[in-house]
Amino acid sequence: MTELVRVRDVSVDFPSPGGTAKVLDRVNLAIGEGEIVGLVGESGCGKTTLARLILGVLPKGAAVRGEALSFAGQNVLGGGAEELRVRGGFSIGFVPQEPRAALSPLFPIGTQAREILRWSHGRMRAGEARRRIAEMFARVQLPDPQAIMRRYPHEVSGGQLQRVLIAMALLLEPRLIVADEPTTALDVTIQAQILTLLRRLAHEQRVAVLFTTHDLGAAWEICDRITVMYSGQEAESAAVEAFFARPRHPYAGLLLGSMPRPGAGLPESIGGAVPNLVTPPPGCRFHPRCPRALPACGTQRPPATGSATQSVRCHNPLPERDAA
Amino acid sequence: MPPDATQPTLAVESLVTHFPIRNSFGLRIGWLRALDGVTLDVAAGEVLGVVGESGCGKSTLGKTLCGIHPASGGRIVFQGEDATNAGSAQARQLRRELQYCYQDPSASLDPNWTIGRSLAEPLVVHTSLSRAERTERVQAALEDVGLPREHLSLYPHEISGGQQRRVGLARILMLQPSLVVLDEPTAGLDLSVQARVLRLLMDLRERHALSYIFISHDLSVIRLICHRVAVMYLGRVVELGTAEEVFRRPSHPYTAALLAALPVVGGGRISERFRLEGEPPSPGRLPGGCRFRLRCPRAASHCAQQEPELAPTPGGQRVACHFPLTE
Repeated sequence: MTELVRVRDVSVDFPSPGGTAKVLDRVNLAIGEGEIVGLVGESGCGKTTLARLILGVLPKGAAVRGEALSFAGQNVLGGGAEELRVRGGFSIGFVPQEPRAALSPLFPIGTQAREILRWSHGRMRAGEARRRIAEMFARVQLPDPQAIMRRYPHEVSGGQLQRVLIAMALLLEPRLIVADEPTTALDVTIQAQILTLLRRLAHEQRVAVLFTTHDLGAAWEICDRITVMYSGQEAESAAVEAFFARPRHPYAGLLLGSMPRPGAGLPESIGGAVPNLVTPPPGCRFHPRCPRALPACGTQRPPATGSATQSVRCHNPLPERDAA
Repeated sequence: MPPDATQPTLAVESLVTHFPIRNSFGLRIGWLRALDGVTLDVAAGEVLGVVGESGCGKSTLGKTLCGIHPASGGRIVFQGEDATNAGSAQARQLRRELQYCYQDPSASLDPNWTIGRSLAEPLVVHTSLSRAERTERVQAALEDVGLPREHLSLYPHEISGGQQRRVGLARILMLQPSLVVLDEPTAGLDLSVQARVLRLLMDLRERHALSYIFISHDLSVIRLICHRVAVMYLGRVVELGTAEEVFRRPSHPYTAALLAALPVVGGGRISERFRLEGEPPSPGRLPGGCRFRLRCPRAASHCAQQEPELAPTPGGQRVACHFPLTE
């Protein structure tokens, strides 16, 4: 698989009233062409910051350092990202958590979709733009695309609005879509519809998707690969099947254990609390809560070990799958 | 402690809650039928799950039971006494026994009050305990939910979301209720925090002999901790049965669809089994006959003419469907 996005040892700091918050700490992430990668972790683990770093929309004041942030082989760290996006045709679609907050309440949906087309494709005849939008709305299975285009966001249900936003992201003809918790605000049956749609469209159109979620079930449903984050560091990165069959990072194992499963009794919680980001523990940030911690864990960030299908950053990982 | 089915703590018969829909001149142009004939009961010590999608009326049910919304019809019998739209003296008594725990914990805490003051308030209103006795109770409740004593002097914004939920729970425990309506007690929590809250809830139930009505949209949580489940769709209970039976052999097509939408880690992907199209219609404009028929894969012409009533199935559940699923 050709590599589309590569994040190598990138750190992001934010100024905060209590000091500098080290929100991302030498993070690594790779997304292949047409691959759906899940970014999983609990609140405050940095998944949204990483998604925004890739989108190029970090808030003002963020300090970014690191080896590389590259799109299709071009390193854009330290400037040049805008250049690549505008002239190099590398557009990134975005599907937000709250579809209602992403659209203006003052304009009909069709007008807002045309805005996207104008931005990405330049001037276009009104009829041609309408045709393209209607076609894309039909592709995301919106009933009666023409009618939806005339409606205002408040006249449309949350599930349908999320379809509109997926359609708008696809209108850019992007190579990557960043979907930030796109189904968290939706009901389970609508979530199932949206996940199925996103997975099918991404694979049909060979668009890569970076899907952030705290819902391991949703990640299992849609992703090809998942990266688990803890407190601004990536803990484990693996093919979904391998990961759910046997996670290797102790945090990932405990996270899976805290998931409610039928017939398994009450889920286990993880002792301790998430560290504060101004004075995070040195080494592996999970070590104060880790039942498998070694002395080295408190001093040294563990290197990535394991295989291409399952790589883990831990000095004392859970054993690999049995040879059988 | 297993629930005792012979003595229902709460019995609800054909409960109806309608809200007026008004136009911009304030004139009523219709009724929103949030609850439209709900019948269920809760045994002493039981955890009854109420599950359904947003807009199905599960929160309205909880709030009507606790007297937060007035009932438009039907009967609520709590501990053998009619508690429908109770008068003020009776309502005051009821509120000690029957507590509602809000989904958003910060909504039930005054941001300008310390946690200690918020916790003591129900005691001031409902009891004649002395200040020292109140302090003692507050400290005991805080200990019950596993929070340190120092939290008494903190303000709500100074503690985390998970801790706020604990304070919310401590607050409803102050008056030593027997039935607690928990409205989405784990929504929006991280997995490990959710696990902690669930354990705490089950622990409190044991120690204080509580019954719960556990309202949630999360079937995997409902499945784990509830004895029985009521599945709601647009203001009605469409299926009621033991959690084990309902999850193993759903009878209503809607229950089956909800279960099919639930990701099963290690199982097949949703796309291989999920077939439910569309979204629920607005409760202000319900279709005639069965309300699920427009999305139902089994709908027939009969479903448009007559609304099905909850009726027992051979498997021991109760289901409101003309063509329930059989094995």
